[in-house]
Amino acid sequence: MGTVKKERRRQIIKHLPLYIMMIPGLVYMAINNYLPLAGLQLAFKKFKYVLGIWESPWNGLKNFTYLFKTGDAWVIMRNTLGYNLVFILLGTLLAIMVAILLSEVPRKRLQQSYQTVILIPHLISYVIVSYIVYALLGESNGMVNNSIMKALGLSPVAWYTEAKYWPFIITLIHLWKTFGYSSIIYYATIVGIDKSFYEAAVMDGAGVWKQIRYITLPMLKPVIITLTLLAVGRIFYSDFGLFYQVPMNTGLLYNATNTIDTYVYRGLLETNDIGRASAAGFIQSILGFLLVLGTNTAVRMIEKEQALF
Amino acid sequence: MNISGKRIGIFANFVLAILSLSCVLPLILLVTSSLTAEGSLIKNGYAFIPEQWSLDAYRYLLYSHAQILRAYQMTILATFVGTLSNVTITTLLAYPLSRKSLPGRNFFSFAVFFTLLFNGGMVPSYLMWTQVFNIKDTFWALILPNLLMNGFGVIVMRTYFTTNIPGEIIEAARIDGAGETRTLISIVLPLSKPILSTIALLSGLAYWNDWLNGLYYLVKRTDFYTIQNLLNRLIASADFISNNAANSAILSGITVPSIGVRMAIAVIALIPIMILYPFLQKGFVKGIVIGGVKG
Amino acid sequence: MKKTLALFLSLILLLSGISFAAAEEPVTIHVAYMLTMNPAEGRQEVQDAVNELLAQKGMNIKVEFVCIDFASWSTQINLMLTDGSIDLFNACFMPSLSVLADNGSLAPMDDLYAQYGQGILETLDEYIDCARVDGVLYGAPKLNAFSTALMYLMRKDIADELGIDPESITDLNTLTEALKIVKAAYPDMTMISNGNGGAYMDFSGVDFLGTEDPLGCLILEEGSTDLTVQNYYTSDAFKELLAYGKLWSELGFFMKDPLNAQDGSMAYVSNGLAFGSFVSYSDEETTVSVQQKSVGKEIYASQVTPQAWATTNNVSGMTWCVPALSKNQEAAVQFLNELFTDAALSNLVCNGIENVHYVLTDEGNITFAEGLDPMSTSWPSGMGTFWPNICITHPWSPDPADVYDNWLASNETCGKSPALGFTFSAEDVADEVSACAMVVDKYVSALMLNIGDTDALYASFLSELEVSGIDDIIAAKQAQLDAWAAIQ
Repeated sequence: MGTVKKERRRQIIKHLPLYIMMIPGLVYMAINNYLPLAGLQLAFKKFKYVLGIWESPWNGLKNFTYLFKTGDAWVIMRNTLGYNLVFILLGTLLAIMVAILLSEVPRKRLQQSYQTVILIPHLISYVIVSYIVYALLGESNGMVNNSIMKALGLSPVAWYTEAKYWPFIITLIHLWKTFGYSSIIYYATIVGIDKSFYEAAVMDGAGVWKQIRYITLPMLKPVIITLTLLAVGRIFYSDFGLFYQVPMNTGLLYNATNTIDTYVYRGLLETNDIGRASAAGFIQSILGFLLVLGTNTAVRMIEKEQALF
Repeated sequence: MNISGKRIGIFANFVLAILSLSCVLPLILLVTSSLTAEGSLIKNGYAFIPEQWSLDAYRYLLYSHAQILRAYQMTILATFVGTLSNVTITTLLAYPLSRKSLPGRNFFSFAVFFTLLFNGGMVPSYLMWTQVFNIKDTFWALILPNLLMNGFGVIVMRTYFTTNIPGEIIEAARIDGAGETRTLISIVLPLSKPILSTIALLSGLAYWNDWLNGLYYLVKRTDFYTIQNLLNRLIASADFISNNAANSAILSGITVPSIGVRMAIAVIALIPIMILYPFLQKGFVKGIVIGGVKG
Repeated sequence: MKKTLALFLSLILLLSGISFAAAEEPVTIHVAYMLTMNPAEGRQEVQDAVNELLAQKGMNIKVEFVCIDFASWSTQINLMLTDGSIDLFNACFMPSLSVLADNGSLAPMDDLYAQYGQGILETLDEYIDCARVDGVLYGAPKLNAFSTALMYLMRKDIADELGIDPESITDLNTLTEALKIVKAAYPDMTMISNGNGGAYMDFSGVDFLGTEDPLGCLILEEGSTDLTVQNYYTSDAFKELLAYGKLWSELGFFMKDPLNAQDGSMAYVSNGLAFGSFVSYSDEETTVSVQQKSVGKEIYASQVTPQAWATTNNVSGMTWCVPALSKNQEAAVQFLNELFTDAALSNLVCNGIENVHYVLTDEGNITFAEGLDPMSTSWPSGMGTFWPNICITHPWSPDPADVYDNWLASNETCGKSPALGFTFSAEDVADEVSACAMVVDKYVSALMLNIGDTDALYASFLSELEVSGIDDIIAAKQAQLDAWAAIQ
């Protein structure tokens, strides 16, 4: 027992410089992220401005009940989880593909241009995206109805009143908006791979596909696992702009566009209730958290090295 | 390069060119519609070649050109200072966490991850930053809250270090008698250019795009407004005028092309970073690596 | 010797001056002011003038304007309510007064007004009760023309050309007949334009009883004092509107893609796409004079509902309040009282400084000082209606000199809801209100515009409202209203 403790202390002292390095980051995290967590109690309190966070009275689970009051609770849950699962799957595939293709572009200059250009969607706010989408899908003036449908001899579609098209539209817009940004991280990893691996593979006569299959993808695996785990943690959240602004808050589309975040926004618009807002966030976080704990444990059992913690 | 290499090069160019087109076309639409007369925009919808050109949107923004220039300065300054600090702090936290032998590694990693899921909300953060740290109406309001370090960046960087930096190299440096700081600066960092520039990019974009800090913490000192804050203000004003012109005598006689203004504003926020980005990224990585080697 | 004495005396004077100042150090209050379209670079100048005026009146108060952009208004006010950094603000673009009262962000005003706010109470008279929640007074509604009626605004040139007399349009039926004539002459034109989200008309003649949507309401009829809370969406009034919506849509009165409208409804009249639009306004004369300039075309206005009504919702939307955490509540109320009663002060905050920001005209109203316009002036007076009492200030051209007298007269003559002064506290049914608000968003625009299978939509609208608890909301409103009526 004593030797274990001693050994541990020896290890800690040995790593002292590393601990010192961590200080700025840890201090910032403690201040910026952990101190305000005191606000989590507001999920269980009736917030009174005059009393402040600590003195406000407790009110049990009353802040949570509105989340289940709606008859659409099932639709909302289905949308939130369904979209996120599709986003994680397709988004990851697309990002990896783009990253690999980027690394295969022979000319450096061209590579850089692509890299810059595919970031444009990330920089356009969803309000503006909603105008662009309307430019495409507007019933009377939209480019799709006016050019594409006409050319194909199809009759125009009232896109903004037919919920059935929107799962595809939303997924497409999400992928378009995020693929550039997400591919950067995979790209960085690929660029950082030791070139001697590839040189050795070429010596062995491996073609490009084999190199990707046996060098690139295995090297990407930890990143894929990490980013997926992080995404799983946020699976109960949704991008408000994508689900509210892009469909222009059209009521007839709610079946395809209502998520937890849009429901909470609409529900609290009139009251701006801090307790109820905290309650929604609390539930979204805790469910995501449990899901990650589960996934992480599974990863840890299969491959200890790859677990997040 | 062998034949399959050439073939994939062509394929890559083909796919990326299409994807790039899907990103550039909307941008062009944005530019042309910001140059379209509001009436023709409403009447005929958006078009790549407008029926009637108009500079009204930009004329409206011209009223605020001095503020816009100033806001650009603030954004660039905040982005520069913030990104530099962010990359430094993130690296200093991520590197130790990537070392498998570090006691408590799992605990700290978990602590970092936890911040990605839970937050206490706007009010507690506001009260803490304003009452304890007094950052309201100071330049620090743009730098400190939320953006200075992000758990996501730390985890991504940690993963890079564990994957791309072979443990043997670090071990070899130790055997040569290099201290931890020396190892990080002269062995690890030079091998980490891709991730350093990526984290810098993520952080830079976050600072460039941020408007919440200005919204929460700048009340009297709106001269510290970043470009995003200012553009939000201009959009809101344009909307206010177009929706309320009917209700107030004094506004009468003003028409503001509110959709066009939004488009023009998006263009104004977007173009500079598109131009600056490649240069900044290059310079930034060079700066870090050179600085690292000198230090 | 003389010199020493003089020095000594002046030293004493200086010291006494300092101690005098220390004893009478004026209280500085922070007053929030909304910036809408220009950054108010003259704020210091106006603030100095206000403080000079207060000093002249012997008031021991200094004012500091906290100027907040419209874009940030609700966020920043909300945050500043948590730390008491403002002392006086207009609770517009904020949650309703009952919510603010319930969450403890406002200071109660009864005692303070009794002591310092006589001018406020006299100015607002019975309308002050609209700022009461559960019997407690929380603020002072800004003085305004409180009633609203539904108007239809139309282009004068086309109406004249087709011989349409605006006086002959008095309800939706006569309006429909007139619009048929216009539609026949101008088939491409929109007859009824709409704004964001597809809404084209406010529900008029209805007292919402304190919620954003008429989830449980009083349907107002002249002379009636009935206090039975009804479900508006099952009422004959709403069904009649739906029937009109259907008719109008079949007649092609609505615009193309109405759900995607991205501008205010009058913008479409202004750019020539629409013949007219509904607006809610209290005073026909003012509406016409104002709209003509903003639309850039001459217009007629026709009131299409029989009566203009004042309800608590109309009155309390812009109420001046003191935060519960303010440390200078007495001074804030004293200043508010001056804003309500002192014409010079009110002119300063509403219009700026005479001959700097505005000049008097021969018609008895004011206009911009030479070389200024709404964008370039350093004290943006576009929000004169933001301040407590615009009615004691100079009207802006093109408003006639007696415009505010008309407002005040309309407050006397308008219809008053029998529940005027009652404010509903939604806290007990907040879950139901949230759920129902979403259902309303989901269906009402489509129903009113006759998009989709409206019969089926209407049926599921009503059943979803029921599932979301509309009956509980109605019951809660009825109970509170009865309790309120019992003590009137």
